[in-house]
Formats: sequence, structure tokens, C-alpha cells
Amino acid sequence: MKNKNTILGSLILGAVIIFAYTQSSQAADSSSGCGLGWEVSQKQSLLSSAIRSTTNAFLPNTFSMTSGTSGCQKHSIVKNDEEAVIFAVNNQHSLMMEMAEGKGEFLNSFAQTLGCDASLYSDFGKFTQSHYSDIINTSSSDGIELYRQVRTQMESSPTFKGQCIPRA
Amino acid sequence: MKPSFPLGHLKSEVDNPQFFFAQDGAKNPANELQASVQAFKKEPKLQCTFPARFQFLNQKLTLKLPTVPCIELDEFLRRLSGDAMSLVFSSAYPNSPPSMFGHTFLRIHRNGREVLLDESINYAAQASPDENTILFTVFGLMGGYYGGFGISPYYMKVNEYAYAESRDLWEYDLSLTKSEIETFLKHVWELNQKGQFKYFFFDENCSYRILTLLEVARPDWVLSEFSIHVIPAETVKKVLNTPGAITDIHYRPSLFSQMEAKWAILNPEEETQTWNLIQTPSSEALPPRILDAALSYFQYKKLQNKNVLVGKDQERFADLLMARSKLGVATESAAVIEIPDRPDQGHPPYKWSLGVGALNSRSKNGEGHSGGFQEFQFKFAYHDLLNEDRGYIPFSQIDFPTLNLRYSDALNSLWIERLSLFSVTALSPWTSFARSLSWKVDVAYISPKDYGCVDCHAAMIEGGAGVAGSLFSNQARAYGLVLAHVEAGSSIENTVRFLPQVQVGFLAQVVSHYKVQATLTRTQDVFQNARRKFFYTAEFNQSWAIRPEWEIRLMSRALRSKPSQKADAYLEASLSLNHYY
Repeated sequence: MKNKNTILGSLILGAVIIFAYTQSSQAADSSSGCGLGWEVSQKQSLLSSAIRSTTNAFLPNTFSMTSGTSGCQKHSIVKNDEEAVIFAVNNQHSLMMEMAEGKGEFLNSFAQTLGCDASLYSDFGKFTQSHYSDIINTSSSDGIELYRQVRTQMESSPTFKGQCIPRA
Repeated sequence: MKPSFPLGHLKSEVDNPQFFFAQDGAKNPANELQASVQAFKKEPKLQCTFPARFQFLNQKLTLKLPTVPCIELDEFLRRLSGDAMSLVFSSAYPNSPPSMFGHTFLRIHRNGREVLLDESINYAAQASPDENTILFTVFGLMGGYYGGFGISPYYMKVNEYAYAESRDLWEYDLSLTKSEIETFLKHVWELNQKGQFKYFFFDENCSYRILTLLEVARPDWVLSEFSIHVIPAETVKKVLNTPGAITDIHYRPSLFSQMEAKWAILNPEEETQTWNLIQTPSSEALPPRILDAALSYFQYKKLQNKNVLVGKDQERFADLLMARSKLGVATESAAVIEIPDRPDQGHPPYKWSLGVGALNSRSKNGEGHSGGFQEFQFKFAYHDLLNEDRGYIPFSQIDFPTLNLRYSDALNSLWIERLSLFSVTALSPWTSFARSLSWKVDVAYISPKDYGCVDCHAAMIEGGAGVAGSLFSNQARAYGLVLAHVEAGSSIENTVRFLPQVQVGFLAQVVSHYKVQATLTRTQDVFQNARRKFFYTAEFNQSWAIRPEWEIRLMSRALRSKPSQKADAYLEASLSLNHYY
């Protein structure tokens, strides 16, 4: 396979040199060491789907959850909430939209990471919508804060108090 | 080729010696088999490094070797094993060469678990994200990187592809059983522990590797036999055409598609209201669908800008989110997203073509010739502007080595009309949502038509950019391109010439299966003292797709140089039958 690839590769290279434009660099992950920072990766880059170094670890952050070495554990205010914290950090953009709308796929998944049964998804959606201003401090919020606020609000809610307990 | 089960294959694709027990294990399956059995007998703990191989040999050869506990492997299987697996295809991303053909990866599902929380397995070139573009291309094409597996929650993939890059995702559910999935995972484990593959963009790429892994889980599936290139959509077709392999197909729209759908349900007045709302707050009570459309605009804009909105946009977005949260859950039916054609429904990549035509050529000094010709064309891949766009990025072209040969009895000549190495055109429309540029690159050995000779040649490189507009509900493009163009050859006066061009064109899917293209190009011939001039070229082309595999084209081209006294002129028309496979 190598010879054919070398020949074809040389032919293509000439054209790509003409086309080449600079890729933008990957910005730093600003979520205090927790989360995988996907959203700032190479959108303008030529390298796109072929490489995703930060998220291409064989055993990523989420894998080391149970051993508490992911760096996210220190943020969880409820035991076993690491998956929920990581989810909130990485999906903050979708959660903000869906909470404003009161329903959605990301919201359901977030509810599951918090340990909610599927029967509570609809209530969870409406709950986050009605407590939107409490949950989202829109001037400077990050996913960790979003998670923390949701948990705090749930604790003082009769519907959710005692519900939504994640398993290890 | 099944690298870890080397029975009956002559050379393993695994590129490092640590994967093999026998000295010549990569080339000698029989020796490798014996050496493996010996190794497992002597050192039982090796089954934790090579679990799939151990399982295979233990069962097939009824070795009855005892199993030992493997703590790390068991944890890996506990985390990743599932009830079902899907092959996921992310649509082509036009602005990035490695992504132009799409990408495939896998998702493992567990019953009761939300899909976004499933695990995904991806195979990709292990390169630094800051790698220089040219180096990346060179290494990627020639095997300068090793490939590696990455595991991440499915939501990461949805974010990367559907949100950040606005690519549609297609999920093809595989009929693998729980235990077949476990075998698959054991194989991924042992490859990750001890194996190494060089990554080749053309053939041993992301999509190819997945097929070989699926073959390990289901040895009766023959998926990985490809002759020259492995195009992701073609790998999906292979799996689909394997009886019983795919049980269901799901469409997951990109952020752009979602946004389009939210705007499509607005009437013109509501659209205006939405644009206003995007600029300034309104005290009016507006229905949720207007806010949802405005919010989707900001969400798209934010993600196109690396998940950041600045200044006024950020304020408006925050205001609108707050306002929307006060309107309750929408009771009116959600915007329906029209499901597009699937990537596996596109025409096949290889092409051969037979055609007949006539040409008339006259040069400045009065020489001329005319006659009929026959034409033969062969193309390795992939898709051009006149092809039916079903399953492809519409109004795009990516063509790999193509050879056009012509023979004319009247002119007593056989010549290469064109030998294309690489021809890429993207006509992305400039819209209020996405201000995309169009561009074109073309590298070929051509026969210039403004020299009055039918079979003279030059090496050519052309490249440039412009804008395109979408017309008739996205059924057509009107475009303008500015191109730099260099030719070099013995037929050319002074050997090299520089020909900047301006081209305007119209390309339309007039009705189903019928496409039309009209172009007008003005080419300036600079730095050629004796010949300082410009010339016009006009083209009118039509294409009828009879089936995905068969097409008829009627092409015509005219060229005339200026000043018109003593002009070069050229005219040709041809009819061809094209076969794709």
C-alpha cells in the first residue's frame, strides 16, 4: 500500500500547497481543569475530523471517574455526580438553550446523569425553565456553576428533593 | 485482512513487532498461531493483553486453557460493553480537505441509557492539533502518522460534528449481538495495548479500520475489500449491502439544519420580526417560534465562532434566553426537519466514459482544422459539478486522477485531452447566516485551445476564490470566481504563461436528474509580448442522470480571442455516456 500511497500523495501535495491556509490554534480549556474542551477545537482548521487529540485519549477523563482522578470530582456537591459535572461543562451551550425552551435531548441526558428516572424528564425540563434566572447567571457562568445551581435548586424543590440520586 | 487473527493471510496490517509472538509472525500465520498458543500456555496473564486472540484460539482449537482475572480489561469491558452498536457517518465538511469525504466512527448503546451518554469509538491519525497543514497532508497521505483509537461520550462527537462543524450525522444500527460487541471490544483493547497501524488517508483510514474491526466481530461479513481508495460513504454502502447487517437508520440534523427548519416555519412578516428582535429588544408579546428562530441564529453564530459571542450579540442572546424561559414549553408542533438524501444513496465514485464529438479550431495566422473525434475518460473518484448531488455536498466538485483521451480520424491524431490530478470546486452560498466563500483548485495537464493547435499541451495549475448565491430554493447557484492560472509547456511561447481569469457561471438542478451549467470566462494573457491579448471562453453543459450508475452528457465549448481581427477561435461539442461504479 505504501508505494501507491506515495505516488498518489505526491500528486495531491502540489494542489494542497496552493490551497493551504493557516489553521487556527486550539484555545485553552477554561473550565479549571475539568471537562474536555472540545468546543474550541479546530473549526477553521484543515485538520478537522482526522485528528482530535484532546478528545482522542484512549481512556479519557470520564473513564477515570470512579477512581476520582478526573479533576471534576472536586466540583461535585453530591456523591457520584462527576458524570453530571462533566456533562454540564461540555454541553453548557445546549443546556442553556434547552432550559430556556423547557425541554430537549440534552436536558434529558443531563437529568439522567443526575440520577433522575426517565419519568421525571418532563418535570425536570419545566423545572429548569421556571428557575432559569436562578440557574443561569448569564454574565459569567460556566458549566460547573450551572450544575451547582441545578443541584441547589433541586434540593429545595418538593418534586425533586430526595429524587435523582446517581449510582456509582 | 484480520491483523490479530493471522490465519490464512499473508501479511498483517499491524506495523509493529510487539503484536506478534513469532519472529516472522506478521508474514507467517501458521508460525504465529503456534507461537501464540505456546505463549498463552506458558504465560496465562498474556490473555489480559490479547483477550480477543486468546478467546478465538481457545474456542476454535478447543485448547481448554484456564482463564485468569484481568482487572483493567474487566473494568474496560464493564464501562464500554453494550447491547447494540451503530456505525455513525458524519457528512462531508466542504472547507477542510481531510473532512471532504465524511467520516465514520462507532457508537455503543446500552439499553435504558440516553443516546447522548453512549460511548463512541473513533479511529484517527495521531497528530498534534497544531501540526502544520502541509506537513499534516504529507504525513497523512504517506503514512507518517500512526492511527489510534479514541473513546469519548457520544455527546462529544455530536458537539464536534453536528454543532461545531454543522455536519449532519447518520446512525446506521448494526445487528451485532452483545457478545459480538464484547469480542469487538477485546480486539480494540489488544490493538491498543500492543498494536500499531500507520494511518493512510487514502486507504487505511478511519473508515477502513472500522470495517476490519467489524469483520473480527462477524467473520462472515466481508467488508474491507477495496481496490484503490476507501471513501467513507462507500464503506457505509458496503455494510448496508451486507444482508442483515443494518437494522435501522437514524438522521441527526446538524445545527445548521436545525436552524434552517426553525426559520422555514416563519412567514415573511415573522421573519422580519425575528431579524428585528435579533438587533433590538421588543416589548411586544411574540410567539415562541420567533424567539426560537432568533435563538437558533445566535446559537449557530456562537458555535461558528468557537463557542464565543462578543459584545452586543452576547447581550441580545442572554436577553432572548431569559425572555424565552418565561414563555413556557412550546405546545405548537416543532419545526419539522426534512430528512435529506442519505450519503449511501449517492452515485459510485469510479467513472469511465465514452463519447463522440466534433471540433473546429482556427488560429490567428489562418491555420485551422476541424473534424470529428471519439473520447474516452477514466476517473478514480469522486464527484463533479454536473453529477447528481444526491448524497453529496450540493454544487461541489472533488475529482481525483482523471484521464481524457481523444482520437480523431479526420485529424489523424490521438492525444491526451486532459490529465487531471486534482480538481476541487466548492460553491458554498453567501447567505445572511453563513458568509461562505467559494473556491476552486485545479492541477492538470491540459490542451490549451487558444493556440490553434489541437494537440498541444501544457502543465497547468489554477486556483482562486469568489462568491456564489443560492437561487430557486437552493436548486441553483450563480457564481463568480477570480482565478490565478499558470501554464507551462513547450507549446507555450516563452514556455510559461500567466493567465488570470474571471469566471461567471450558473449551475442548476433544473428538474430531477437533469443538470445544466453555463459559464463565461475572460482570460487575460499577460507578460506575453507578442500575444498580449485576452480571450473569452463560454461553456454550456447538460447532464442527464438515468440511474445512479449511468449518465448522458452533452457538452459544448467556444473560445474566441481578442482583438477579433486575426482571432484564435475554437468550438467543440460532444455527447458522452458515463458509467459510475
